[in-house]
Amino acid sequence: MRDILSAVTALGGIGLAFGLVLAGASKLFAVKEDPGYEAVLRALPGTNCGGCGYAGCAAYAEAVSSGGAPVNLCPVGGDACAGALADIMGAEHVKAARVTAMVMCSGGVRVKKKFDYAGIPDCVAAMDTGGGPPECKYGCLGLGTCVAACDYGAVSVVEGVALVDHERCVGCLLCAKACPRHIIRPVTYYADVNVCCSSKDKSAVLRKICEIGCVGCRVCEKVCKHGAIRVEDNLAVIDHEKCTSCGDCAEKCPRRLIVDANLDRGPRAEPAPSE
Amino acid sequence: MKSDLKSVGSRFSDGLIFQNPVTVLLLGMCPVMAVSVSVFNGIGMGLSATFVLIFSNTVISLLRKFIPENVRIAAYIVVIATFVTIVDMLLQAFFPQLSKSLGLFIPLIVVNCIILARAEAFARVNGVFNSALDGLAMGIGFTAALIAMSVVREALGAGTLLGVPVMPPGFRPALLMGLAPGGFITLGFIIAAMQWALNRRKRKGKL
Amino acid sequence: MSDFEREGRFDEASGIPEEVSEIPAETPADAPVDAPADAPESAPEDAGGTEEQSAEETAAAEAAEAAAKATAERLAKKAAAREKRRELPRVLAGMFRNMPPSAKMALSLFVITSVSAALLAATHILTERPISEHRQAAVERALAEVLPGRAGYALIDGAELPGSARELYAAYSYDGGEDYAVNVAPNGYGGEIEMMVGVDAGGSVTGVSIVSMTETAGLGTKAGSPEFLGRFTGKRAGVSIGRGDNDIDAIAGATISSRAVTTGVSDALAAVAAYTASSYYYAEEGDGQ
Repeated sequence: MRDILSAVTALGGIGLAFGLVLAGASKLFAVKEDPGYEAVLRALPGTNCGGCGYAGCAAYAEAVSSGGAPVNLCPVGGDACAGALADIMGAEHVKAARVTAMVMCSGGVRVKKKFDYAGIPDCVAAMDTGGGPPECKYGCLGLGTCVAACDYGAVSVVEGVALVDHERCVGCLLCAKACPRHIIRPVTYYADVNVCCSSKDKSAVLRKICEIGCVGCRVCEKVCKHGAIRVEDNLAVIDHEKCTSCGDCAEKCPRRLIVDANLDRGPRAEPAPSE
Repeated sequence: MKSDLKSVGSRFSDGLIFQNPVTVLLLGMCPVMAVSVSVFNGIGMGLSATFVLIFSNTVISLLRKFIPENVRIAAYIVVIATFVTIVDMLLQAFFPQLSKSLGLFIPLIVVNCIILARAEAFARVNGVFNSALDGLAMGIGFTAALIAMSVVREALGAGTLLGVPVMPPGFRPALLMGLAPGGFITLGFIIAAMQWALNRRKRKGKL
Repeated sequence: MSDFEREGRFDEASGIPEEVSEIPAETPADAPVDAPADAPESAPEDAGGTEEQSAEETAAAEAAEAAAKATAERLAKKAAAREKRRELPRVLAGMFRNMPPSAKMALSLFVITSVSAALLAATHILTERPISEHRQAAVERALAEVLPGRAGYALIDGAELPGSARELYAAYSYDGGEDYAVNVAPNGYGGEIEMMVGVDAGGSVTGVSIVSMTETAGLGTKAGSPEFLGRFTGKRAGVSIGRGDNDIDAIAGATISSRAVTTGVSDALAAVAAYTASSYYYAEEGDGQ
């Protein structure tokens, strides 16, 4: 019993003493914190990924609480976080600005091949080999360099062309950095209509090498009531600021190239005609 | 219980493979290098550290609302040191041979990064059951890594496993394996092998 | 289910304010209510009796009434205390939350360290016997190894212990002879090397036994091998690493461990020499040396 008592007094005394020392130190070295900043920081997920465009969650919290930055920039926190920040800052609720990667090519097995490639299954290596197996010099090589780069399992190669699963994609864009042809682009998650092609080849050339690529016929441009789609350099480009996802261009595209997620139009709606 | 079977399973797969404290998080290197010279020591150290991890995670999780932010490091260390001392006393009393073998490294469990890291990263913000489970999973991962390393280092460095000679006669033990450089080389190979296996899985499209 | 839990529901259902519910609504409270009611009832019945009798009975009735009231009060107090105890954790938690931060820090550290200390002290009490038993057994094993077949061993208190010597034991033979063993703990490469060195009455080493060592496996641990330790048998004071008659060969690649063991043996010899010179004189064997 005496042992226990002496141990408790000794250690308890030390604990008390150091507790008081720490209490004093915390008063001495106190840093004035802004309560708004604290609240915003607590609401953020804390992954420090920089997806918001700021140098980590602390920087974004600072920007929101005192700099008036938009509350919906956190891709990891998503809509819930945007709502929480809006409540804290007294702003109106906006949907989170979610970005997903998109492969701007629909060729794959639909593209003629120059040769049979039996080298290293890597797009960078294939490009060095006579410019790559596909005839189209803009399109996806389909060998999966982007697949390996993705930490979230969001990219896969389907029918010879890379495809991003928008639900799994977090918008880190590592696949875009890995792609040697730079045809993976960030697109807002809410954009339902997309032109997945990067070919600037003229119609005469393109028809010979790819079954689905954009030939620059301008049908979509004429059909669009909002002026959201234009053809530049033989390639249709959608301006997502103006696009309302009405789907008219996708309906009228003679190549059935334009993807309309709502109606499931586009290359994926029908399986590739040949292997 | 909030945790369903799947999350329990993911705790264990995290602790054993994806977030293995030794080969992925690279924590607790000091005792790993020193203790993984023999399998007996490796298992002993692994189990002792697991015991401490489970109990310290549980207690810290229980007290998480009670400990103010400013004193939390001091409080965690006191809790961890208490359990390490208990382990030390229990080993000396009931497993004296192991206690002698592990020697200085039992008290060093107090400053084993793994324990403080899990307390700070997990037990501080999670419930008691999950924290205990995390302690168990991390401890098992630690023990597994120790066993993997000590099997190699004891077999090649002393020609035995658990004291039993396993190499053919005429085998001259590589003393390097019993020293620090051998430890680092072994660890390097183990980490490389794990990363290769994990990357292969990723390439095949699984997660 | 306790009174109060039952009453809690009763309160919710009927809306009776809580203060009223503190007084238990069951028989103990009812009884006192009944008893005074009984007394007046019985009193008029006896009104026809003698004056003394009614006075007695009235007194008795009053006493019973007072006792019953006291019981009711006691029970009410107990009930109140029970309610307060229930509230205690909540009250304490509230108090803790409202404490100034410095007090919170000091208090939490104080509580954690005190509880830890209590736990450690308890574990110590639990384990100190096995630990000392193990140590004792290890020492006895080592003694038997360096001085086998002796009648008994005894620890000598207050002996002069130079250098790394920790304990001096005397070993008594059946024929009356006395030899010594010294527990030494010189500093090796990886920590202390605890050894038992046996020294006979004539001052030469009878044997060396390692109690514990944490030297480098395969290298330093060779200094604990019987082959190396055997080199010390028969050596006398002044033993060191070298080529002479009283010297031993170190182990290649384990210089520090070898030196440590040699130092330990040397210290053991010095301890025995100091002891035999101090208060001890062996007339038959010549000068204590």
